[in-house]
Formats: sequence, C-alpha cells, structure tokens
Amino acid sequence: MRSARVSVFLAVRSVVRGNYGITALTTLMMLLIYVSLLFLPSLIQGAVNRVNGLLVDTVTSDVVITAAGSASSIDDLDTYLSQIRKTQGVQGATAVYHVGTQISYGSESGSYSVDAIDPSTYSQVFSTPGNIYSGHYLSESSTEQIFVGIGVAGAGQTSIRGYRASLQTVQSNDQVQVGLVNGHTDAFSVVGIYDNQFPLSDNNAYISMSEANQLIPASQDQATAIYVKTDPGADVNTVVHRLQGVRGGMKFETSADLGSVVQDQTASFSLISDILKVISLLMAAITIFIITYIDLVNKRRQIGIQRAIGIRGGSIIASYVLKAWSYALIGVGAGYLLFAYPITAAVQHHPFQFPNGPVTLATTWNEMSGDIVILVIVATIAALIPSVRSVQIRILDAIWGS
Amino acid sequence: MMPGLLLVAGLHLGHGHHPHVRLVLALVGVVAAIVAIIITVALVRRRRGERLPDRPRRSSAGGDDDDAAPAAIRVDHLGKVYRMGRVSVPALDDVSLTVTEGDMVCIMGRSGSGKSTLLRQLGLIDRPTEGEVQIQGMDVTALSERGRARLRLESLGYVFQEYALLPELTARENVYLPAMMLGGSGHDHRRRALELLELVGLGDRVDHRPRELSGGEQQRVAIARALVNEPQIIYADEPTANLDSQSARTVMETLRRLNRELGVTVLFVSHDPEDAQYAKRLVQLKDGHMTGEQS
Repeated sequence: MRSARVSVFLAVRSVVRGNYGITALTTLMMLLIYVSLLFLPSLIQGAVNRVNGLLVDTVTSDVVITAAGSASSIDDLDTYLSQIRKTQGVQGATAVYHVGTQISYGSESGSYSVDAIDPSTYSQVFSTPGNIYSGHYLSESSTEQIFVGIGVAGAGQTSIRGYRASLQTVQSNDQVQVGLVNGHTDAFSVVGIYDNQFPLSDNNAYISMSEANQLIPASQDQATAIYVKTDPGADVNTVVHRLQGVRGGMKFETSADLGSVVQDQTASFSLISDILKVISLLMAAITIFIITYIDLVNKRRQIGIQRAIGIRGGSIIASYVLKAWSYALIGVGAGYLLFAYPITAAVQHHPFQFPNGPVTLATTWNEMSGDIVILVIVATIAALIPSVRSVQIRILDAIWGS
Repeated sequence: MMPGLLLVAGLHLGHGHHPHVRLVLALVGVVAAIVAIIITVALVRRRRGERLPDRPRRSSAGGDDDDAAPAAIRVDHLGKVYRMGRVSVPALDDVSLTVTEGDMVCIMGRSGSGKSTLLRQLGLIDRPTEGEVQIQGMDVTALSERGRARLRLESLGYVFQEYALLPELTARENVYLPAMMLGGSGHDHRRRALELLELVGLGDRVDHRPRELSGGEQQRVAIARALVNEPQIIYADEPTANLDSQSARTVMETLRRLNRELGVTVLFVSHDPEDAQYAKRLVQLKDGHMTGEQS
C-alpha cells in the first residue's frame, strides 16, 4: 500500500509538473488511436444497420407469414388479416400475391418478381411507396398500372448497379408487357418508379390487388405472403408467439431469420476492421513504449537516486505504468468525447454515401468498452517492459551512467 | 479473482443504461480493477517477502572495541575490484575501519584514492568484492537487495555530491519522499519535512523546486532528505565539491550541528582540508589502501 502510494505520488507529480508538450502529444496520440479503433467498426456497424433497416423496411418487414407445407397461398385472407391486425404488438399487416415473373420493354426483357398489393396497407408496412424516383405510387383504383423498381426500369441511369440486367430505358408512363403466372401477357403503364437504393427490393414490380383479382380470379381473398410490422419496441418473438395462436398451419419467419444474406458481407468488413485494429494497437504500444523509454533514459540518474534513498523498484515501475495509464485514459476520455459528439454529429449531418445509401456511425457498447480495456492493457505492457529493465540496472550505473 | 470481478462488474453493470453512463462505469471498473491488482500484488509480496532484519538500534550488542561508544560501522579487510571487460581495476584493498556512534569522520585522499568507493560500500549502494561490513553490529555484506534497500531507507542517509534532488518535486516533497515508503500520514510527513528544512535553514524555501534553489540550498535539502527517516548514520560524498566557499561552510556546519545536537554518526568524503576541520576523526586513503588515521 505504501509502495502504491509512492507510485501514485511520483506519477501524479511527473504528469502534472513534467513536460506538458510530451503529455499533450502522447495524449493526442492515444486519442487518435482510440478514435481510429472506434471509427471503422462504427462505420461498418452503420452500414450493417443501414442494410438491416432496408431489409426490414423494403423486403421482409418484421415478420413474414407464408403457408406451411405444400400449400402455395394463404386463404380466407380478409378474416386472417383482420385477426392479425388485432393482435397485440402488431402495428400493421399487408398481403402480397405473386402474379408475374416476366417484364418486357421493347427488345429488353427480364425475369422479375411482380406482386399484387393493397396500396394503402402496403405503405403502412413498407417504406418503398415513399422512395419515388419518378411518377407516383399506385392507388386503390389503379388499373393496368404498374409500379416498378429502379433495378427493373433502369430509367436510363447507367450508373446504377445492375443497369445492364434491367430494362434500361423504361420511364414513367411507358408501356411494359408483363407475363403473368396464369400464362397470359398484359400491357401495363408504368405509374411510377421507386428507388430504395437496395438491390434486393429494387428488382420488384407491383400492381394493385384489385387489378390482380380481375386478371387472376384465383387470387381473390388469397395471398402468397403476409408481412407484419410490429409496434416500436415490441419483442418480435413474443408477437410471433401470439400470431401462432391466431391460426395454425402457417410458417412464421422474422427479419433476423431472413437476414443471413447480409452476414457474409459483414464478415469481410469485420476482418478488415480487425486488421486495422491490430495496427492501431501496435501504434499505441509503440508510442507508449517510446515515450516511456525516452523518459526513462532521461531520468536514469533520478531512478538511481530514488533507489539509493530507498524507493523500491516496484514503486518506480508502477509509477511509470500509472503514467502510461493516465495517458491512455485521458486519451480515451478525450477520444470518446470527440467521437461521441463532433464526429458522430458531423457524420449524422453529412453521411457517407454507400451503395445502399447514406450511412452514419453506429457504436456498440461492447466495441467501446473492449477497446478501452485492450488499450489499457497495451499501455501497461508497453510501459512495463522498459521500466522493469530500468530498475534492473545497478544503482551506481544508473547514477553515474556507466 | 477480486480484480477480475471488479472489471467484469464495471463492464457489465452498465448494460441497459445510457452509453455515457456505461462508459463511466467501465472506466470505474477498469480503474478499480487496476487498484485492486496493485493492492493484491502489494499484499502478496508482503506475505511472501523475505524476513528482513530488524532495524539496527543505536545500542548494538556486538563487535565493540570501545566500551564507552559502540561501533556504528565496522569494516574488516574490505576490498573492491571493478571489472571492465577483461581488465580488473582494484579500487579498495584490505581496508579495516571502525566508526563509533556519534562520531564525525572525514575520509580524505586524492582523486582515485578510493574514498567515494569506500563510502558507497558502507552506504550499501555497491557491494564489496571481499571483506565484511557491519552496520550497528549487523553483517550487511551478504544482505539481499531488498534487505539493503530497506536498510538504506530506514537506517542510513546518503548525501550525493551533485545534490541529487528530483526536479519535479518541491523541496518539501523531496524531503518527505523516503518517509512515504515507511507509511504514516501525509500531514505528519509534511510537518516533519518542514521541521527538517527549518533545521537546515530553508524554512522559507519549502515550496521551491530544485531549479529555483542555489547549489548550497539544494545540498541542504538533500541533507534534510537524508535525515527524514531518522537514520543512525549519514554518509556524504563530497557534499561541498560543487559549492562556493560560503555555501560549503553552511553545509559543513549543518552536518556538524546534526552530529552534535542529534548525535547522528556522520561519515563524509572530501579532498578539501577546510572540510576536514569539521571532522572529529580523519581517515587517509591512498591508492585504495588506508594510510592513516588522525583524531
């Protein structure tokens, strides 16, 4: 305890009354290293959040209900939808009926998913109707009208991903031919083009359910899938459990079950992030080591004197480790403030433009606390090595520098 | 176990709270774990630590030649050889000496005569190659480094030629630093340091840093530091070598006053005959050999 007290005393006096320039620069280095440790993982997390958000908002919603077993559609749809909407934790539900697989425009043709939707309930569950690129969204009374994604239309935008696989030059009000599941082909006018900046949902097209009922009478009161949006904060699994009690013979999948497509992308990002993290930690270790080493070389005689007057080697070592901790913790504190406020706020106002749209920084607590612990451990080891060596030198050699 | 628990508690208690609260809790957890590690290591070392010799007392039982005054220091056939690669340089050869308690001894000799080397062996800063050194009747020749550090801390005071103060500490802090190693309250340390600085005539310079003091003042601070743990013996290695004549007189008078008023045994090295006048006894060294003694 006495040794610890002496260590703290020496470390505090050294930091407070030592060279402010060295203290400031070392702290600045630790700050930058901590910010760099946080920045890339946060950016990756932001990109992952963005993709997950788009997945939920434009493709899967929170829960997808399909018919289980060999049944291809859900029947008695109106009753079932009404029951789903009354279930606790459900904010909205919409049904989709798959009506087409092929769209052609002039000489261009491609396989796309064409679904019939109820325009009003669909917009309560998905954000696609709000992401208009040109034209407008479907209405309840839309007939012979189709709402297509930018990945289908192309719209002359050669810069979009998958442009060559699209119909390339389709614009609003153009006529396209749609191959329906019943084998017929019908002409539709493009009422609007949407752009979700997400290929998984931008390669779809939608017509109104009323139109589908006329073209394919079998779709009456039927659905291929029902998409459910839960209340904000509601536990999805709890809602699923409740929905399972509404009707049997259904298959329930959450957005997490369907999001595996994103995980492959994030695994690569994580590897890059880990490599950069190791480099940052090495930089931190080298910085602390050099600062401590130079400090020890300059104070070699002082250390000899301290030992000669009876200060234990352990106290001297601990004082240098404490100094390293103070640099690391002040740097981490300042780095956290810098990251949490100006940097995050700036990126919030001016997000990075990723292929899937604007991405902001998203920090996870595990990431932050883990980085703090690792940085402190690295600082400890980097300070420990030179300081242990310095107290192993003979007192006389330390004092007279031989 | 405990540090790990503190760390885990710090890291996990905050889950479910605002990120800032969690960061603060994590930092508290890390710092608490660090402090716990220091305390644990200190306790373990204390328990495992070798059994150190008791602090020598002024009235030593053994080894006295003089019945009236027991020996503070006894040196028998001391030798020291410095090895520089393959070359061996003898610095001391067959030096035997007894210093009684309350004595004030000056070791004189030309440069290279071995006087500073002798002082370092007696001050436990260096180890002799042969011979035996007894301090207060205890053989310290084979003492471990830890035991020597403790003896230096508790029973010996050492004044270096070049002041040897820590530049980041004030005069008062320099004085009480060795006392902190022995425990006690900060208030007592500060009071004791002030008393000693007043004793050496620097009561008005307590909060000055070494760079704000003259050479003579720094040397007197070093003397006050040497006294802080109430040592039985003070060693001074050419304490006036870098001082002007007025400062040198002040330092020597301070040492004499400590010897007379506090009964501290003083052993100092000098090549200045003026300094030698302050000694009760003079020991002459030449080429590592003791050539004479004079009272």
